[in-house]
Amino acid sequence: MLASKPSPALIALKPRQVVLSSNSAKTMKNKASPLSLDSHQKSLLLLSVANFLQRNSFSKTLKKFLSEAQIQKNDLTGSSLDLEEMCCKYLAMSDNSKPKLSSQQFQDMLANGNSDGQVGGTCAVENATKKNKGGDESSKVDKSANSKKREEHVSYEASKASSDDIIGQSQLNESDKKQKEKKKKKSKVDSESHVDAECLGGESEKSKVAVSTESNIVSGAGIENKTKDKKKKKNKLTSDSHFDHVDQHGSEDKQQAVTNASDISLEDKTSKSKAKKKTKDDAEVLEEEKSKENNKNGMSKEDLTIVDCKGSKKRKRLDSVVHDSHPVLENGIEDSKRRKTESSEEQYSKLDSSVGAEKQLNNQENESIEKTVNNSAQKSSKKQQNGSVQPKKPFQRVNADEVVFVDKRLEDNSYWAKDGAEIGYGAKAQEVLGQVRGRDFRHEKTKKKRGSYRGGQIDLQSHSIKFNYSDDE
Amino acid sequence: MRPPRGRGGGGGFRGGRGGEGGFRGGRGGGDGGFRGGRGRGASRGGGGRGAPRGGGRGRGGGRGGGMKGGSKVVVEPHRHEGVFVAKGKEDALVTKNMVPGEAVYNEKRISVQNDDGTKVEYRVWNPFRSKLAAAILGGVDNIWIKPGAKVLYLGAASGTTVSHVSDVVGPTGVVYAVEFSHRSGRDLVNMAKKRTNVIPIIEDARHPAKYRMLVGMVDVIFSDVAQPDQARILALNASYFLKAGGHFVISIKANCIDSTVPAEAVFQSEVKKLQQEQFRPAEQVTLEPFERDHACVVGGYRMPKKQK
Repeated sequence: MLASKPSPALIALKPRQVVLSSNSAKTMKNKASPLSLDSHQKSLLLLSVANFLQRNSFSKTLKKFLSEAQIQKNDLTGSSLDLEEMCCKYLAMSDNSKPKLSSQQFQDMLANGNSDGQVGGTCAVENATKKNKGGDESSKVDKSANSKKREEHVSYEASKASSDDIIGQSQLNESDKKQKEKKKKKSKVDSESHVDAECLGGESEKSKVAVSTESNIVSGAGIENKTKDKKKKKNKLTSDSHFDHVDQHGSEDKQQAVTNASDISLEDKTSKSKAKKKTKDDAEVLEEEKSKENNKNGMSKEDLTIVDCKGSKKRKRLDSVVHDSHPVLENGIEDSKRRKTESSEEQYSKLDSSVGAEKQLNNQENESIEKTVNNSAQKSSKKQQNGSVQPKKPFQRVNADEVVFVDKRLEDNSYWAKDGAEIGYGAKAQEVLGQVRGRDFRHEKTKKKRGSYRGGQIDLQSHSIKFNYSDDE
Repeated sequence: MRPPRGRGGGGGFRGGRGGEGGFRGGRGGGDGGFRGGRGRGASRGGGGRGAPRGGGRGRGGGRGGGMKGGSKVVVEPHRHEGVFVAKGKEDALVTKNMVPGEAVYNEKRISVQNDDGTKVEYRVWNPFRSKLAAAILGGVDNIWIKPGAKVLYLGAASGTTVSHVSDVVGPTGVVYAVEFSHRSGRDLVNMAKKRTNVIPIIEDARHPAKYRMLVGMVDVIFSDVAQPDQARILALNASYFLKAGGHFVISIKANCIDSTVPAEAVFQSEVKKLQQEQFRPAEQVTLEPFERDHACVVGGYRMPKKQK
């Protein structure tokens, strides 16, 4: 581990990243490196991490973390470091630092114990992305992608477990990931909404794949129970409230992302909020049902493997749901618009960070892979949007190319082109009105309407353009 | 005593006009002149208020401009029957007022005394307000609207042009004025109350069947509907009401049909459309500078084939 030391030029960039991403493996390494934190700084970092966990109400993780890092609960308030803030700053700056960091960190990762599982996951997810791009026959692709992802996240879990053994900070790592995944979820939801708006079957399926992969990955963190449960609920809801509810799909997804972060203890709250949503939807689903479901979900959370099985089932159901949602696109479009405005900031930042070099972005390769999946989904949707727009011509009642003028004089409708214009009654008006456009024209014309216009002599000649007929008809 | 004096001041203005003519007497000149004299007297008596009005020249000048009552105006008939040109210092297009003493939209009126002592009132026809007037001034060859003609007017709006058409066709002609908007239709109906030859129809010109029982066969259809499908509307109405060999006058607003292509192309395509609907466009004239991107097309309907 110590052997793979970075070159001094690259080290300069490291500490910030270490602090910001708070990767456990990294910190391990950095202890040995000359730039590692001293004990005081480290305690500060730990405190900030604990603070972050507390703020985002990862109570279980926090508990474990506190016990393992040997921090007293009372000490939590003292920390001044804000992980979220730092993370935001880092993401903003990562654009510049990415390319340089990339290769080096990739190697680091390989050296790490985590690397095995993560790389495996990479392969699986990449396969999935390829299939997403290629496949419109979603059901098959979905399944295969799902299965692969499941494998991936199992391995990922294993790696995580190992890292857990190594340090208590791995939980921190996890939490960080959770946070990022939250954001990702939001963006993914966005992409999904895009696709919904486009009302193309293949696209929606792709987006589904993206969502499912996402959920799989999240399952590694042990949170995805909720999302799946919610999806389940959605399935049930669709049976009751038909399409109205499907429209709310995206927004609910978002809520999931939010609730992911929240603890089990908050379940009551979520159920309430959901109840509110449903009442909004005028769906006839009972709140009690939901709360029951929620309870069930809470129960099932404890067993990961079972959840996985359930998840696959649920995913299949989800597919059907999204299929159902196609006819409801108009509402979906509105929803997507709203969502876009809401989450546009996040999306943009994400795009910025991921466009350059996606794989090299972070120590956590999983994340970058997620992004590639995400990006591919978004790109495909965008492409198809463009494709649908481009062949459409702007609406025109008159095709200027097809018009054939029977008379040269007809090609110019202006006053001066008319014969007898110079001495005509309108010459004076044309001098004024010819100079102005739009509002000024109306203004000038209104003045003339008052009757003060004096145009000189009125000639009684005919100045019109005659259509000549050869009388052969 | 005060309030009557105030009114006297008002009369003083009129009297001023009358007085301008040296008691030659415009309309109401005699009476107004008398009152004007009183108004002036009052102002001389020390009433500062009456003085400027009594002078009257300021406002009278503003109102009259070139076509003021006192100045000498000779009204000559235009090439088009029923239309006249008031020739003074400056020319103006006028029609003979069917309802003397009343203006429809506060337009100016010109009274002319004939040799036999009878007075005839003309109304100034503003080309900026009326596309038909703009077409006439633009030099259209034939408007086909003449005394005694029966005219179907589509898109009558408030009836400003309709009133002039009613003047042109005279008591022996009829104007069926179709307007869909109730708001402007109200003005149209009020105008039609005074003009017996105007029949207001508040209906959609797209559905001529709804007013077919009100309209007989007509000689001319004037269409100013400014709709994308105005050629179709015209054809539909023509099929119901326009006699074979009748004529149409249509004002085309290019922006209403397609604002993305040049106006000339729009006019040409409209002419082509009309040709496909048994119309025979005979001439086209631009309405510049009175209207922007407008053209007026005149032609015949189901014209009999010429033998030769």
